[in-house]
Amino acid sequence: MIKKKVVMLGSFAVGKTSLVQRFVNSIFSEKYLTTIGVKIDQKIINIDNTEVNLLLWDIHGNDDYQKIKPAYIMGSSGCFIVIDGTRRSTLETGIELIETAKKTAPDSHIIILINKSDLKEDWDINDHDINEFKSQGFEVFETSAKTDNTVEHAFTRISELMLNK
Amino acid sequence: MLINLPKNIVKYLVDELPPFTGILIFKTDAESNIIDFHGSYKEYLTEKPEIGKPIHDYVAAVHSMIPPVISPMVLNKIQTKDSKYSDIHIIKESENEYWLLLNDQSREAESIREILQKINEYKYYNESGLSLNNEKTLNALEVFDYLILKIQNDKEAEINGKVPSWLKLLKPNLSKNKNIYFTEVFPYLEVFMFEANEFWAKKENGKLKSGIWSETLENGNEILLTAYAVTHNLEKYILISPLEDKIDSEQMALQMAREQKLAYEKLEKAEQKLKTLLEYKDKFVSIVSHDLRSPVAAVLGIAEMLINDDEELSKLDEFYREMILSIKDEMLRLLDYNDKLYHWSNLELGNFEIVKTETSLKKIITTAHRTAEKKLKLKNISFSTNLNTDVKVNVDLTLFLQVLNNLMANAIKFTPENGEISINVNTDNKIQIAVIDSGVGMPKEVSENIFSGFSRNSTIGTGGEKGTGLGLGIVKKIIDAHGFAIHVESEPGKGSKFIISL
Repeated sequence: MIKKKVVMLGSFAVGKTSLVQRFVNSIFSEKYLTTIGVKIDQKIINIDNTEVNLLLWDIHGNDDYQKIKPAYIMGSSGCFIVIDGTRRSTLETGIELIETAKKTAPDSHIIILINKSDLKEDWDINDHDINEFKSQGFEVFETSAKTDNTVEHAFTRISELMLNK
Repeated sequence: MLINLPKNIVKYLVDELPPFTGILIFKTDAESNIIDFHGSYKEYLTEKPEIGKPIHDYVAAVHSMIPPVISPMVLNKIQTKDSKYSDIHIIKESENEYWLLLNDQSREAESIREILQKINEYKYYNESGLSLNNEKTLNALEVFDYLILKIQNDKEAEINGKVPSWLKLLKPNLSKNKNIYFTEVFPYLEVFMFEANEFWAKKENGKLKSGIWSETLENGNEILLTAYAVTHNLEKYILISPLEDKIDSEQMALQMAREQKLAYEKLEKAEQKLKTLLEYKDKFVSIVSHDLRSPVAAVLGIAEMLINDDEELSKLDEFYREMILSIKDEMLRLLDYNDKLYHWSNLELGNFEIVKTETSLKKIITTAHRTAEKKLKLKNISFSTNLNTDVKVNVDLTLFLQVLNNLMANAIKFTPENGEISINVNTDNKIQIAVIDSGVGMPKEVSENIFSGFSRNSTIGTGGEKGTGLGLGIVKKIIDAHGFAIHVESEPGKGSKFIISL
């Protein structure tokens, strides 16, 4: 079976763990529990009759307290940059991490997830920001791990990109 | 005791020594003499350090290390007293200021030492042909709960020693002395192997520590693990250890720091929203009050025209004449309210400038009295002032007069007929002007918020006078702009006293 490594990158508390847990275990918790280190989950999905085992690297949030080791990104075929729509600072961290990902895993497919779409009235990220990402050739999805909005679709899409479909 | 830590030292602590608790900190001069220290020295040293004495009297390892060759310089696993190992970080702050941070590594040092000891024993028994199942060796390994992997290649390793208890809960099928595809079992190690291979290639002593990762046990619980790459007798080993109690404090500190940061971000956002709303409100009030003036004045003009036209008025019966008079009164009140609102919003937006001039206080009080005279007479209220000798005050005449006018109007409104109002001046220490009435007074909960503008309390006077509730808000703005202070003393039924301190 084809194995593909996908890394979840983003600032702290943007919802990386929640997105993985929603996708893998169909669960969501309101409580914020900071991720220490790395958690690797696996899920097998079927893309056009091809089974892919996704190794989902849920990496701790990037901030002044914990810096993401570029080595974690090495060997990845896909990379989600997760941004919290309600916190503009996480957009800046996301942009920095795109550069890290491009440098460390140049062949990795990058998808931007603007998470917490259930709180859209509180968003600090606007259409202009989203279009800016799109103009650079990135696919952007608005997701919510809480309401299960576009989560499965995002993981399916990254798998398709990794399989060149 | 310490300590005002410089910003860069705080940053270093946060970046390099999480969870940065339990650290012993020294500050020394270029001669290694202790300037100050902070932290539990008993944990690290055999005796209490004395200010002024050389640091190497207490931590021998740092002899001749100050100034350090590079900054920061880190000395790993230095024994500072029996069974106490510390990483010592030496940081140069300035030519004559050095910081030494001692971070306890005893537990780690001891566990690694023990493990290496066990590996030695294992190798010894192995090479000397003794049974691999020698209980003496392998039972001891289990105590430390380390998984020992003897690396064959980038993917395969042999489990040495007993299978630790946590691994049985994680992968029940694994057993000792078996080759496993360790990157399949622990995908995290795939990344660590890049660093480990570099480390082994250097053929240095010591160990390389990995980051932390978590695995889900069969019972659903999470376990946090860390790995060490070590070399022993030219063989490569990876030791994996759970991080139970140590991680608790680290995680708690991180969790708290991030929760605080999140709360701060939320607060900042709410503050920004509030500021925008307030600005919007001020502009709205200013625009509306400005634009209302013209139509209100037009209606007032029509009402006055009708009242002054005796011929037309005589054609109307009493009821309609009263109605027209009411229209005029209400329009006048609306205009007054509108003017106050406009004035208040301009004050709120800061659209005014204080021009102070030296002015006679007596003249201001006389003018304020004259302005209020008609209303005073209507309710037969007596007026007095204690100011016999004139005093000069430095105020913006127009605005300050408005303060006294508003306070007088307020006093008249809430004083019943035949009452008394006075403006008394006290020049003992600083100049204080008090507007005192014998009116209805007010409870504490009203007086506490009386200057906020848009009063929610009754603005109906004792003679049924209607008000805007803005008058005292305007007073406060003008007083603040002057740099003066105002407060009120009042009790229900005992009148009120508004005191301005210049």
